[in-house]
Amino acid sequence: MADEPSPSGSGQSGELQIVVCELADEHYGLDIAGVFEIIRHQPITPVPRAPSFVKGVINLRGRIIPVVDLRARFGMPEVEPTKETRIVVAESPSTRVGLIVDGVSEVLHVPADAIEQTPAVAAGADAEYLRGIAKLGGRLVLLLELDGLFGAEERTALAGAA
Amino acid sequence: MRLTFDLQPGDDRLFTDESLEQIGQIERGLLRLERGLDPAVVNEVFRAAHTLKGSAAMIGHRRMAELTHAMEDLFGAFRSGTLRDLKPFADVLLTTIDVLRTLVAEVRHGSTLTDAPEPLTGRLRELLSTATGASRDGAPESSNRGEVPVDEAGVSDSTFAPLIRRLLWEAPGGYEPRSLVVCKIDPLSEWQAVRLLQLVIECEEMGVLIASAPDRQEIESELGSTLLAMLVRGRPLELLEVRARLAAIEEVVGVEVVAAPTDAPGEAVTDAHSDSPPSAARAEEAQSSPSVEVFRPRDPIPVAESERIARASASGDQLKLAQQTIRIDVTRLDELMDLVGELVVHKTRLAQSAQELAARLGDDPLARRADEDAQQFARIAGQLQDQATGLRMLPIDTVFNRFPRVVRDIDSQLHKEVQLIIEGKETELDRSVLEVVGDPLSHLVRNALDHGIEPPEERRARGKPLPATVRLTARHADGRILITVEDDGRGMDPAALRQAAVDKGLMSREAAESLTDAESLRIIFAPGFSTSKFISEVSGRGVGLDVVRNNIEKLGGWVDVSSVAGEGTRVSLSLPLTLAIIGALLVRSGPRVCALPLTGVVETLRIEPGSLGRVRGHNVLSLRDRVIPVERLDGALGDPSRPLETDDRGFVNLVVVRSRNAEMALAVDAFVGQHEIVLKSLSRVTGERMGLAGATVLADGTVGLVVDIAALIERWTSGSGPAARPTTRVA
Repeated sequence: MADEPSPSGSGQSGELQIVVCELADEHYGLDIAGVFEIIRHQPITPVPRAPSFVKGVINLRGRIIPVVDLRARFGMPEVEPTKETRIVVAESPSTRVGLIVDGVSEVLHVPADAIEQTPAVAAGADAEYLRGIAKLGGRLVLLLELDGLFGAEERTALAGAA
Repeated sequence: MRLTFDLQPGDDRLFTDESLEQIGQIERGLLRLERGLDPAVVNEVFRAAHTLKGSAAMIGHRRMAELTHAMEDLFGAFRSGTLRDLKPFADVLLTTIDVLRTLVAEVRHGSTLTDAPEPLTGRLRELLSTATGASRDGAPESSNRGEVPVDEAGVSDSTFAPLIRRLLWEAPGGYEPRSLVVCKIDPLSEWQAVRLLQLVIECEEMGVLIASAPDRQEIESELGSTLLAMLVRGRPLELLEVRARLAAIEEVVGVEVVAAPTDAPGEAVTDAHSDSPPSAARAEEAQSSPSVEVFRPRDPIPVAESERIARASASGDQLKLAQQTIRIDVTRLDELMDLVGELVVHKTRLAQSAQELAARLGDDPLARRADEDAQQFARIAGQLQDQATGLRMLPIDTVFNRFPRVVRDIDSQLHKEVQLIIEGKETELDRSVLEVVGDPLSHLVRNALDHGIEPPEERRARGKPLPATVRLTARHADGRILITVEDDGRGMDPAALRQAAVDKGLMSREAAESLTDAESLRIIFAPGFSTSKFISEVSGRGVGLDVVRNNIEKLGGWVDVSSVAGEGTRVSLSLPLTLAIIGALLVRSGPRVCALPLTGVVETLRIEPGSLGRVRGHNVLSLRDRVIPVERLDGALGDPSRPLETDDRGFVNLVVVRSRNAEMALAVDAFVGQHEIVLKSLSRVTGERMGLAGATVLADGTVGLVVDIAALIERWTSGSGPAARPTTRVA
């Protein structure tokens, strides 16, 4: 049921291994080293008084994990889950969290020289969750910085959940 | 002053944990030695001090290393038999313990917290030299290197006496013929430790070594000695080759082999130690609490010799036991519990799948096998759950063992003659409860000593026994743990308590007079009752018994008190065995299932909406003589408020919950059932988590939220809720 990514993370210089997630018609990439597991959508228990983009909590083999709707986080219209919907369980030193995405398409090896710094036009207030943009054969993949997804306050809020 | 230590990041925790454990061991040892010298305990504290010194030196904590070194030397003098009475040293040694704890804290703190170690080190050294100087006519200490005259080594040589005595005490008993080998190294040797090690290894390799003094560990830590005594297997005549080989080692100036005395205390220990119960009295004791330990700090009772030896062997066993245990980070235990919890959930699902398979396939071999396998799996998963839960259980001794010291200190401060009796210290309970029960218990014990026990003159005048008794007991009862703190002091007078409550303005005279005697005793738990009266150095800190009661009730426990004026007081705490697994009522509320811990649930009701009353725009329930505010559970937790809804049969489902003496009725969509749940932390995902104690994994694998009933009600009573406040009944 779980599509387990290969345990080998990206670490070698010159190449990044990323999990490509779909969100509306955009592509987002997460460093595979920070992806813990990818699971199908499942019932989420809503938690009172949670921030609006925190959909609630799920049980991942006995651990209670908060789930964030990336569409809601990025201000996109929310949609009902489909067959393709996945929850990407990702972790950084400060957070373990499930990210709801429209789908997970592939794992890509990205050469370092294909990654550009976030251009000013895409940056603005959102710059801190973008690590860069990878250009891959005419496709643009926005590389996400997990810790940047949540403000300091939200990070604290999410911290103990992992 | 800033301090830096030679520690890897993260090792400070290890150092702190281990050091505190050693310090605790020394402290407990001291309290026992104060009652009478016991060689096994002397060895225990000496080793603990030695280890402590080593680790302090290793991380470069000079002040701590020096202080422990001075303490170790003092213990060394007891170990070698130079000193025989610990009492004159007890106070300064216990002060040392306290200072050591502060020094350990410095490691995590990173700066100097106390100036005490230097003067204290000096004081210990001074005490040692005064005391040993006075008795330095017999055996000099083994650690006085360089003072040993170079002559032929011999067992008759008095310099070996301490080593041999120690060896025979420490060595395991045995019936085969045994010999003593004593060796002496050239005092001018620069390789003393190496030579001693060579000797020990030689004997080990020839397969004859039973024990040595100093032992390998001590030699390796360069304790510095030119003398070695070994206990080996075989008669002296059979050991000629051993002797020759040992003598051939460089810088060994003397080797002698003699038969080991057969009436050595080491063997007496083995003989005296038997598993037969001491008397029928034990059989009559409550089956769950067989152990009774008595501490009489000021008035040591003469202990029969046989009993003393039996105790020596018991602590020897404890030493061995300690080596068979391993230290595990509690987070790993928690993770194990999580996984086991998940396994148990899947056990149920597997059983369901097997049944469905059987229903679909009928009498099919595959279906039968699946069903058998599922049953087998369920059985093993159940046992695994029991085992994993058991791993988190610890004997309450880890809390009780601080009290001999507490009682001793207060006793010498207040000059009351008190003996502490501890019963049932092996009673086990979950780590989660253990962590929180210590402070309330301390408070109760201090109270008993401070206010319960009369001064000796008064007790004598009343013809009451001396020393007075404070009894601390623990036992399991009805799946809970029952802890009592009992004293035979002056007791409490209900009439006086009623008067005090009126004087303090806690209740009207009429209300006070309507209380029964038993109810009057509970006045001591009323907020504002004890604080003013109980501030003293001993039981003080300005914390009242109401805080004790609150803390216990927060854990799902309760407190009872009984007292007879002039005869004593007993306070009992009843607590759940674990906080990790709790009984809960599961209810559906809005978009989720919530778990209400049973300790806070009073009753469930299904009523017609018309029977609810309205007070200032809020629903209230009239239940017997009480008026209870009604609120939707999801609304109370913070979801947008909605009107009450009825179920398909037209009823409103209510759960009446209580915390302290306030009640609320929570409206829910449906009752799901009563289950044991595993409580997990929910983090601060909600930012403000008011009203939630955590989360739990339900049987279907989804997550349920566990309600913190006390917090929910508190939020209501504190006024952030609507005007209708929960009813408060008289305590």
